[in-house]
Amino acid sequence: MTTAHADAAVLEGDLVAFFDRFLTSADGAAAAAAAAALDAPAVLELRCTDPDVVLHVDVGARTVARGPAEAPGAVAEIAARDLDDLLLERLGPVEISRLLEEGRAHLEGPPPALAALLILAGRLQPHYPATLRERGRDDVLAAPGPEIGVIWEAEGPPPSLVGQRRPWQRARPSRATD
Amino acid sequence: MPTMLGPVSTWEDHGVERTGTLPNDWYTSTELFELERRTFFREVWHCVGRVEQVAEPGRFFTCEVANEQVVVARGRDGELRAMSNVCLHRAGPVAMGCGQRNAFQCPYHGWTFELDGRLRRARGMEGTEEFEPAKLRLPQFRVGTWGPTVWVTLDDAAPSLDEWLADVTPRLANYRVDRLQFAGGRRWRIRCNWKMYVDNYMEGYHIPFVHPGLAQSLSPSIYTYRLGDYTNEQYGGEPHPRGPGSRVAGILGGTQEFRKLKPPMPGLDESERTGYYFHWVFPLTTINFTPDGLLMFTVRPVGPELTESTFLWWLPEATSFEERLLQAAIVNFGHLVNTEDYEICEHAQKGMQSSVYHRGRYAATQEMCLHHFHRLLTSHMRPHLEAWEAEHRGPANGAVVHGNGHGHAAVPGSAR
Repeated sequence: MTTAHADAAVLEGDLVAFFDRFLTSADGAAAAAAAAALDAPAVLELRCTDPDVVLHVDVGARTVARGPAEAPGAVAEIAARDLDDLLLERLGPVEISRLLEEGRAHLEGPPPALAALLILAGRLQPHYPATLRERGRDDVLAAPGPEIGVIWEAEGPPPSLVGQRRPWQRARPSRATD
Repeated sequence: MPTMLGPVSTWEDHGVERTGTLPNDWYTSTELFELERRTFFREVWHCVGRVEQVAEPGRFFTCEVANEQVVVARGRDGELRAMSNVCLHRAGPVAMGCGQRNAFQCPYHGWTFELDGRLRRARGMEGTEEFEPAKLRLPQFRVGTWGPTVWVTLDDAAPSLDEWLADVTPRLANYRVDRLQFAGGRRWRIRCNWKMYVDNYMEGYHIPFVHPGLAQSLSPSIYTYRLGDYTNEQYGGEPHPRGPGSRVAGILGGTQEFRKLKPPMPGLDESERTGYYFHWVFPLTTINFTPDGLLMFTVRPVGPELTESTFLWWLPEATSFEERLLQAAIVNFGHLVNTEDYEICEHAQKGMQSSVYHRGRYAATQEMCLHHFHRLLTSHMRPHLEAWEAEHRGPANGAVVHGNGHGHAAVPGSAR
């Protein structure tokens, strides 16, 4: 539990306000227009941990709601403190990658949806510090970020990858066995 | 029966087409590793740190080169020096970690040294005879810089760093490396011999199997090799730089759109915009120029079957949050590729312990860089192996034939 997000209800309020601010802005309108071109549902399910909050954002319909989505196009899971560091631009590329490499952030969804999420994130990000300022969350804004530009080392061995098919790889036609 | 020279089987070069790969005992022998550490590693240039770490007077960092404790420091006179990090009194460290100091002080008994290594003060030495502090100085080693990096060799006779890196240096200009920022890196400890890990870098032959993501980013038909004196170069072209785009695994899980979202850095020529230049620097460094920045990785042999690999990233300053995420995708992809290499190297290291495998064959059109590495390594090691042989078996013995019980003296699969 972090000091900045000790209360799940407060975090949920911050996040709903953040997505509301985005969705009702020109950025949200542009994202909705872009979402119309997507094959996948333009619904992001955000699972925040420590404290636990689940929201889903329908970019096409420009709505945010509490709880999991029925059919999310993409799912993002991340600790609240890491989400702060990410959206308050306290992380460099190596630190952002580290979130994924250490399993502290997790993304699920087909590649086009994740690519769309990446573009969405670019439009979304400025609304986070703006929302926190509007809500007087100076404690979150002032919390120090991690040291960046460092050389890090994982504690354990990396996961086994060799010979394993990746989720984005096309399946090979199965060979008849009899 | 394999012919032995020193603690390992001999390797004779008959060209990449007709030669067997380095015998397995080169990857497992404790005696060879100790010999490499006492001799070979002292004679080559090691990338030990970054220029930004020693940008101003008083800035320093410590490192280890071939078991030698070294401190690299910028003196008051602006000169960059590499010195022994071993106190002249009782061998304590005169500096630890990195930072900025006016002088170095050994934490053991408090001897103090100037930034240029001269002994400033040795407390409590009254009554010690024939002790002249003014004449004492930490031994100095050769140091040089290349691009954003600092290099050290312990050998006064080694070629200059400029000569060592001559084939790579011209690339610095187009990539505007001076404008890139150090973004951090990641370190791995891999349970394999350092040569196993370096071998793996030397060819793209394994890419379709070990790196399915990278395989979709590089075109097998645009993969070329070039050999230099102390370096070699592999070039991998992206398959569709302006079409559907490369598929980059990692954060995006593979997307067709990556290159559309993340254009190459400005100032690059056509081949640089549309491909990757992978340079290996004999024996323990790689310098990789990509359309998105510079990636270097350094290799530190820790033990006969333990190696440390450190990735270092220099990237342009991101101008937007989206660009930073795309850079993160690139970093993530690079780390994924190395994690795949890590794993296959550990598997192959176990294979090197086999009683029925002695050595393999080069894929003649795809593993010439590997052959180049083995040729450079064995030629540098030969005098040391001969000296070892003379010391352990007597000069009259010369190179002697020993059986290892496996009967694999001939190159497997070769015409005899």
